Amino acid sequence: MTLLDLKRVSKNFGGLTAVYRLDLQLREGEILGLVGPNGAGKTTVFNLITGFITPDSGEILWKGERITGRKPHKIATKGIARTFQISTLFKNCTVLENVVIGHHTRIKGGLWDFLFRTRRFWREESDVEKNAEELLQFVKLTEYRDVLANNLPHGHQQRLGIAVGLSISPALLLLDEPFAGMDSGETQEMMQLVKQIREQGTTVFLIEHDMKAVMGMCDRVVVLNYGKKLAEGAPQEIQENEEVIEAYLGAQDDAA
Amino acid sequence: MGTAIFIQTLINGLSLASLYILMAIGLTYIFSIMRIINFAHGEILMLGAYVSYLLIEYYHFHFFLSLIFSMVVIGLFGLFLERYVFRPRKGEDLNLLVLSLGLAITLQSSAMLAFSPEDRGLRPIFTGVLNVQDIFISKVRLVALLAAAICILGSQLFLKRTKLGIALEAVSQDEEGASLQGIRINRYTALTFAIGCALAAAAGSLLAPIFVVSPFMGTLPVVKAFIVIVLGGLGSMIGAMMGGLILGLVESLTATYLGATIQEVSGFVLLLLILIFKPGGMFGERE
Amino acid sequence: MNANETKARSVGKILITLAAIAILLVAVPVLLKGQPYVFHILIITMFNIVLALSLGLIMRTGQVPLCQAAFAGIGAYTSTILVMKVHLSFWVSLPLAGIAAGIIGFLIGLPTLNIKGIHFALATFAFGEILRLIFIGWVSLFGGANGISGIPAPDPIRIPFLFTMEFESKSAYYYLALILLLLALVVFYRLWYSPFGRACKAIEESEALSECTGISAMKYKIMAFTTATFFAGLVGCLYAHYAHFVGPQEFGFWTSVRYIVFVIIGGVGTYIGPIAGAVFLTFLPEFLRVAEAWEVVIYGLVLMLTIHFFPKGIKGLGDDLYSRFSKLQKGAIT
Repeated sequence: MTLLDLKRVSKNFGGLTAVYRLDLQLREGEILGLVGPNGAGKTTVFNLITGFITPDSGEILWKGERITGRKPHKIATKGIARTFQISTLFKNCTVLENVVIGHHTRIKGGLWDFLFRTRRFWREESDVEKNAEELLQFVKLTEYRDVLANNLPHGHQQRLGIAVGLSISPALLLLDEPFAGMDSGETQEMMQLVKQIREQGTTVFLIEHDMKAVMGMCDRVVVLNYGKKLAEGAPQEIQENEEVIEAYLGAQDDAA
Repeated sequence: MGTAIFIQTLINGLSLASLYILMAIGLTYIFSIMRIINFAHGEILMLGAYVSYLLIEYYHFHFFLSLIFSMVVIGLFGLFLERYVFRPRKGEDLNLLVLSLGLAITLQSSAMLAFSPEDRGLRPIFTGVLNVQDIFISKVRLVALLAAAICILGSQLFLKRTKLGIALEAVSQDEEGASLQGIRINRYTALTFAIGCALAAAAGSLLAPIFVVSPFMGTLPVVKAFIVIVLGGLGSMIGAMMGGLILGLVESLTATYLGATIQEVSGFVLLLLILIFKPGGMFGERE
Repeated sequence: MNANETKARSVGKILITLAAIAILLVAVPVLLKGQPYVFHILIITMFNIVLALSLGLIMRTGQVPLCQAAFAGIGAYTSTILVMKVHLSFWVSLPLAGIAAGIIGFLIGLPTLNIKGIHFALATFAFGEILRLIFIGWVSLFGGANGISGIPAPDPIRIPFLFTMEFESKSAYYYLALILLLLALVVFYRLWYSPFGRACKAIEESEALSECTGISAMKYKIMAFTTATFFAGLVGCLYAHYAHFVGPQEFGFWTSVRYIVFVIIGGVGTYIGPIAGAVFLTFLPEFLRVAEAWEVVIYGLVLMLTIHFFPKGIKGLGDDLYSRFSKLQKGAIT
């Protein structure tokens, strides 16, 4: 079934077109890759989906419901989680605290419970902590549980970001360049992790530059260039698509 | 008669504005590089006024000479402050706030001890008024206006035309980039702070003959200067000038035509509205 | 530390706190009988602790308001007017004062809390100053620059067959302030160490990530702000009926700044920091009185030196000493 549906979504910044009439569907259970040269508008797409930016035109549908222009925290409660390109974490909190904070919306108790320390308060605190520990085990960060997020090595910060995202038990996880700055060993581990996330029932949508990772993991790939969809299909097809190759070569020329 | 009063009010407004701008520019220098709101700026102004006062009353310096002396002395003091008070806590915004506050308290109370809390009057220097076609312009305010204008002009030319000044702007815009280019940040921070203090000292010295010299004379001007830089936009020199102009004129006009209390409130209401609708001020930096 | 340990620690903490409360309730007033000035200092300290704690909660969300004193002023003037002009009982006007301050806090917070950093501070500064000018300007309601004097003491509490408390001596006010302090200590502690407090910290660390985990930054900022202003209103009300006088100069910008300094000197981002800062900086001027004219100079120097040597505040210093101490302990064992 189609989880996420972008219909002719457009966004301008000043005079610059970031995204132009983008049509995109995400199917439940797949791993979809979003690729394209730098500046193609990929992170903007994520920002549009998660509500950090509002589209100028077009609609975004989540499980059939309009989420265009809703606030980020509302969209998060609907089951969409994300990570950020530059690792965004609660830097002065420990690894465990980061994931505990991620579980915030799972706590049903309110001010009454907090102020009067009800049984529900203690029960939920204990549950949250247990869940957080399990999640840390899943992303293999258990030994770092009391380390400040700021002091983690880069690759581990990425994993923590994913753990925080998974805390809300999302139906969809958006990963923004999760492989950035990783060596081949770390890349393999991350690929494993992403596949496991899908096996657990979370659909994954990821932005990535590392082609090996994309080819190795994604069921489908969408290519963006200058905010427009250039191509879409299985990784193999994309790799052989001439327009795509030209776009990347062209980008390389520009960069040179 | 109506026009004469209007023009007088205007000139008073400009004179007031020029002193506000002087203060505001000094604060802007300091804010744009050190990212702190210098609570002690009013006390620096006060020290500048006292230095001038002492030089004129006891050493019989000429007014303009004492103005320059005051700026230099206080500028050097500024170097000392930057190095030993603020630099150790660079980047810690809340701590810098407390430091500047502690400094303000220390300076003000030290002045009270050293000079006694009474107001001191400066011996009359530019007495009398000019009478131009029934418009009475107080000479002292005119001098203040002109001297302030020179200082302001000087500070802006420095920023735009000298190598040092351009480097300063570069550092304030992008500290990391500048340091990568080999610019010694600490030197520029020190220089900027010194300039900011010197400008405050100038404002104090120019205020001295108009009002009185007292340990408390800095508190009100610094509040006004804050309003100015927020109106104009934190970190913007043009903003400081426009903001100072607007506040000076608004205050002068409301004082003459609407009365003192309305005058005070108008400044703050203006401030609150700008902050809500255009938090960056008129020419503010992008957040 | 897991939830069971937390619970055990909590029980331990409760016992310690109860013991401390017993001491405060019984011993202090007995020891201090006949020394009204010391009572006065303790009462003011307790007010300052509550104000600092409330400010600490707002600052936990990453916002630094410069108008907390103004909200105390709202509480003070509200209660004064309700008691003296509307002839309500103090015991009715007390919660109303808090609610008034809370409501105005909510109304001010709504448009300003999404502004960040220095601009928020300046907006609250402007608000505080406008309020002060209203207190001065609206003479018929607020008494103008001279304020309102002759504010009556709270009505006596009469519990038949048990006791009567009249508010004539300082010790009665001491108990009243103590009750407010205990309430504030518990409330802010429980908020701080709860999902609410964690959400506030998360918002300060990264609003973007907080939103992504479903935490509405605006919601928590407003809740923290409103709670804080409510308590500020309560303090203001108590103060008015204790000092029997309110005036606009007590609730101005520089007073608000003093409270910020309490929190920073005590240690920002901690629960106990504001408490330590308020106690330290309220007691300090008393000890400096011996220096007479130098009192204020030394106070200013203490502020600068404290931050210079202890940038993390008193709490930071405490943590430092504690970890050195435990290192020594460990060294001693091996």
